[in-house]
Amino acid sequence: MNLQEICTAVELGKGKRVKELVNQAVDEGMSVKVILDDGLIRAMGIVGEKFRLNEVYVPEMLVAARAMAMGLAILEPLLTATGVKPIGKVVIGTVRGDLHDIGKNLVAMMMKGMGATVYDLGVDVPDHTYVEKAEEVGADIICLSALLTTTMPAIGDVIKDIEESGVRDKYYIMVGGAPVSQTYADQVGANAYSANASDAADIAKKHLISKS
Amino acid sequence: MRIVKAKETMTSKERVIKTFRHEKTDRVPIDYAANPTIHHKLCEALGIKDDDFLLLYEALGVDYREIWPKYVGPLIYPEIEGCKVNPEYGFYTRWIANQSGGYEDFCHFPLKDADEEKIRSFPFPSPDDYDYETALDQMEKYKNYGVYVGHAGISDIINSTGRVMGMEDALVNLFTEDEATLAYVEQMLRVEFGVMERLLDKAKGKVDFVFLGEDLGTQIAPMISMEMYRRVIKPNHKRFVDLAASYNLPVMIHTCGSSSWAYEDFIEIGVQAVDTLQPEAANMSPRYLKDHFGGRLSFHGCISTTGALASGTKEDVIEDVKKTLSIMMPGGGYHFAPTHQIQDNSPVENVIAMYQAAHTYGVY
Repeated sequence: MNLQEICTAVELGKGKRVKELVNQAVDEGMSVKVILDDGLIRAMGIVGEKFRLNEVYVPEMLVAARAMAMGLAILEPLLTATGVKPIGKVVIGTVRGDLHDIGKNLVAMMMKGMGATVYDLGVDVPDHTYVEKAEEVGADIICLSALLTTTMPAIGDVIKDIEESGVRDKYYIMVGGAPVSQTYADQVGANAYSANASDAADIAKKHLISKS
Repeated sequence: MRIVKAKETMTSKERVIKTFRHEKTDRVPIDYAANPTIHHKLCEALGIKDDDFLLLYEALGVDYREIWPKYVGPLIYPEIEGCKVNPEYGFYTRWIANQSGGYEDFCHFPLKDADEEKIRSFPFPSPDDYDYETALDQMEKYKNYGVYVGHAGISDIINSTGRVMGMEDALVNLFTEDEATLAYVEQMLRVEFGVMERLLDKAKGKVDFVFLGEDLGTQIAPMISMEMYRRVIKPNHKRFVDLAASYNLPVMIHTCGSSSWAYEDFIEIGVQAVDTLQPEAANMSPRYLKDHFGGRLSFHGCISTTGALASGTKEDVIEDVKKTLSIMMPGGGYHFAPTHQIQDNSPVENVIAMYQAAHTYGVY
């Protein structure tokens, strides 16, 4: 079987087909890393690019990401067994006072899709929880999301908390969400701002590769 | 402190109806929506007791009055600790505070990850169980104002499905045309349609327009494709627009975010006005809207709740209002309003400056 079939099935959000094809590829003895990179990750990269260009929208991203997750669920134990490591670790959450998560979830999916291990803290996350989790898991990147102008200040509070914990330099802090801007990111001392999930994954990947 | 109102030569009702028709009025009609904390501060600043909405509307010169009958039937949804259940739709919210104030936001999703059986067995209220009499009394009381039936949640599919199953499940299920989800949508809309039809029938002549909603945009792009809109949503919107048309009533539709991509289709099905119009969203600036749709749609909103109003000075707000009015007023068809609820982080002097500017500069 060829990997293009897996890629296409992910792009179209055909989760059951992705599972079948991934199982088939594994059974045929294809390298697990190759299935991951050239089947699943490549597909999410294509979908992410189409999303950036407004050729597909949030529903298409979601179905593709869910299909990818179904394939990844088969590969993850096999990857661990063969000693393949993720390219980095990301802690992500929506800030205190904010219950919105669809944008944050898209970023988490794209981060997984480009090969990172993602620790999703959920929504309404207390300020100190980010650094606690990041320290616990040895994260590389912390991602902060806020959807509302009225909760956006919590992003600044989290970054201050990380500074006060004395570990600011250990983490690459990325921020995003509808009211957030590059200007705001600069004001609060974030390392990066991204306007969409696809850009977020690209920025994160570049950083992790440069770090390794 | 008080707003010095522009001289008026017509009733609010006349002003609103003429604006729908792009006819000249004395001043722009004015609307209002706000988060609870800023509403309270505004009432305090203007000397209005008990946060009374009607007294505030008088003070600001608000021309619109919303009517939707209250659901008075039995509670058909389970109560959950820590959450408030909406008895009409079965969604759950809790108060979540933030640095400026807070929101009632969705905290539990009864149909998240639900199987087909659970979705199909979700209960719905009956149109019999709404208080039409009080609604009719309100229409009589508001007879000199722009009276509308409906609100941003009526005919709405994406949000309304999202608040019971979570936005992700809602978008995926609508996109894939999951049968159980579409059956849920059909039932929910049937109740809303039934209530609206009954109310319009009883209220002949007392209503000025119908207000519908559907959030179709993110900040930067359409939320969904045109194809999905036409396949899943448009036919349902059309039913409500046709109902309004059968009573000769224009329709205004609320859509948050970058949503002008759907406006030609709105015009095609007979929608006559659009609401929110966040200027910071893609292809939603007053200039863009006026150039592309001026004269074919009237515009309700445009005064950003996240711009000068929240983070600028009083003078910035006045400039923002003046600039918006200079684009939107020529040819009529502009309903002055914030793009959504004024946010709790807005300085109260900015809000007062906004409404004063509407009276000072919004005169034809």
